[in-house]
Amino acid sequence: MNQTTNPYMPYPVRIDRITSENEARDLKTFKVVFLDPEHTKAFHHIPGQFAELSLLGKGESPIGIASSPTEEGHLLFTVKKTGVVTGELHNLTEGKVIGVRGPLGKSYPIDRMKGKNVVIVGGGFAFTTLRALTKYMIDDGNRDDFGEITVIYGARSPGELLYKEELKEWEARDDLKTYITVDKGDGNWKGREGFVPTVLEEVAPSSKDALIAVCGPPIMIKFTLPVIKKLGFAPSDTILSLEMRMKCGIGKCGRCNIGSKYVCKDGPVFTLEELDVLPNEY
Amino acid sequence: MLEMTLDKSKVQEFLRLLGENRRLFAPVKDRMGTKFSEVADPSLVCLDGLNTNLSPKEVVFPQWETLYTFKEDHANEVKLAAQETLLFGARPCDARALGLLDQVFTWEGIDDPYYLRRREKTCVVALACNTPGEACFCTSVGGSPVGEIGADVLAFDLGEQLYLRALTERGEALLKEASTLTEKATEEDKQAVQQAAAEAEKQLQAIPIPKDLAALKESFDAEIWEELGLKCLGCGTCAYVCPTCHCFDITDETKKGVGRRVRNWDSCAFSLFTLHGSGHNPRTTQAARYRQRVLHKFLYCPENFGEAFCVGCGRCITNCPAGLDLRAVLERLSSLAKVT
Ligand SMILES: Cc1cc2nc3c(=O)[nH]c(=O)nc-3n(C[C@H](O)[C@H](O)[C@H](O)COP(=O)(O)OP(=O)(O)OC[C@H]3O[C@@H](n4cnc5c(N)ncnc54)[C@H](O)[C@@H]3O)c2cc1C
Ligand code: SF4
Ligand code: SF4
Ligand code: FES
Repeated sequence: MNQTTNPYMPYPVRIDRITSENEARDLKTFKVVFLDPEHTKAFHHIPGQFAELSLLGKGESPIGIASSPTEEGHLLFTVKKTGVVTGELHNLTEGKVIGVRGPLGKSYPIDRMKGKNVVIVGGGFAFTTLRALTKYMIDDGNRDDFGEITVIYGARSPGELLYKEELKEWEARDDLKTYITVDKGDGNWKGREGFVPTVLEEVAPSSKDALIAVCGPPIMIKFTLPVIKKLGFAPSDTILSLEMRMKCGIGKCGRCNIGSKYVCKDGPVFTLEELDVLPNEY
Repeated sequence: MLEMTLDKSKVQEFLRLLGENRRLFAPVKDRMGTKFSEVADPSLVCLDGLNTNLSPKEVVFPQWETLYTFKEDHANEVKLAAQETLLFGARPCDARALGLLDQVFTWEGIDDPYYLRRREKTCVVALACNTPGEACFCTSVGGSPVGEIGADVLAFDLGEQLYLRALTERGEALLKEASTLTEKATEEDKQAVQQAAAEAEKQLQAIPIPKDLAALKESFDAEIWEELGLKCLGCGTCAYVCPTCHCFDITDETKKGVGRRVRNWDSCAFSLFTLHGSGHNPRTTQAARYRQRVLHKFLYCPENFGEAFCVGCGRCITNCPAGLDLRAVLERLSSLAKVT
């Protein structure tokens, strides 16, 4: 039996590569490959979805899928060392076998984004599924499906930016506008300084025929939403991704319930319009 | 519709016969009152008690169960078989609660194989209540002391005998299996049943249930929650005794690389329930947690499933150490709803 009949069973995967992402060394990206090729075929995710990473004996943690389905043959997860499961994950070495249960949850509304301009706003290590989304849209086979793509991404310091090499590649491309910013630079930083909401206001992407997707720490979201509103994005075109403590990931265990929604199955991606009618309990 | 009677002196024999190729769960006496247990000896079955302290939900959704076992980094599935099971003597509210749990565990096409393996093999003989208890309010939440929902057979205690009405094919097959012990119900029996039903329903008082969901939504910021939150101890008893509460935790139990992943009942009353690894907690106060229990049942479930997740069994009322009475809370919420 596998996940198609038992949604609680994880697929075994091997950690193929571990990349340390930041100076504090509490953020690592894990590239994993399925042990069974059948599972590779069975796992179809869309950017925005997440999976439960499973460490037998420790537990499971819901983690956003940082890779795009266009990057075939493997999955990426960027994990911050936080507690029991993520702490143990950080202790593991390449070659170790862990479990992946998913894909879970609702994705970014890719179909609605097609034919539109897309603005991506990310802060800190919450950039993971936005990376998946960007990567998906700029893939050769998909790029023409989308209008202008603008990426605004910021972190506290240069060392805290995720996917540094890739960001450079994106900046060099002419089919997407990339704005990278840090709250405060260091001696070597030649790029932009400033908070994400401020940069968004300066860049001022048009809200006409556009959707905007935002992920970041709560404080960034708080100051970014008014800017988004000012730019004229409708709540139904403003997309956010929520975090809530989870266990089952399939709408049974009740843990991620907010109002009549379950973040695991109705989210984690929601429009601002949907969030506006939910109780403020997240 | 198969309608039979069983002489009460033959109940043990009846259970012994049906228990031959089934697991039998029925109320038995224990220190605290009565409790649903797996019974090997039918002479221990006690049908006089009204609501057991714990509901029979554990027959299909055990308090603790293994999801799978593992050794180092290899997970092993457990065999998801279940034996034919007879749940005998569940009250109509508890039978109805199983119907509500069915909805969660099959929700939106995602079946829970652990729940379903047991549920699909469980035949429910519900026992109608001639004399409802003090904390019962089933009729106010859409149930009945003689309700049929969720049951395969409905039984009535007619004094000298049990009247048994098959409600489903499974129930009919069960009664046929024991046909040597039963007799066809007479017109007189049927009349007696009708009378008992009418009398039972009469004894229950209607309490106001907040049905205006928009108004209930408005109650989210009402002061009542602060006050109730100060009383609630966050012990979780209400969730454990409730036949419809279904929140669970998933944890690992391990020793030297060998272990199992298990699921256990959990409760939204606990402060750790929503605590993130980062330290953030969306429900920091007991007020918010008590509100979650009530609104989940009376607002979110009606929005998602079309009905409240409360069958009016009264267990959370009789077992709350802080004396919180859900009926009083619902009454206050109803009047709040009227004002706003
Ligand atoms: C949809 C979603 C996507 C996420 N994506 C990422 C990501 O890409 N990278 C990343 O580093 N983190 C992500 N998180 C947060 C991550 O799940 C938690 O940091 C992690 O579960 C903490 O687990 P722990 O065992 O290390 O911590 P502990 O505090 O020891 O937690 C014990 C258990 O509680 C649960 N838990 C604790 N905190 C959270 C939380 N914030 N969210 C959900 N469950 C929690 C988990 O089941 C965990 O195993 C995401 C959370 C959600 C809900
Ligand atoms: S039983 Fe009473 S005190 Fe305990 S959590 Fe429930 S409402 Fe609170
Ligand atoms: S909420 Fe209370 S009265 Fe309602 S079903 Fe649960 S335990 Fe019974
Ligand atoms: S994580 Fe279990 S219901 Fe969402």
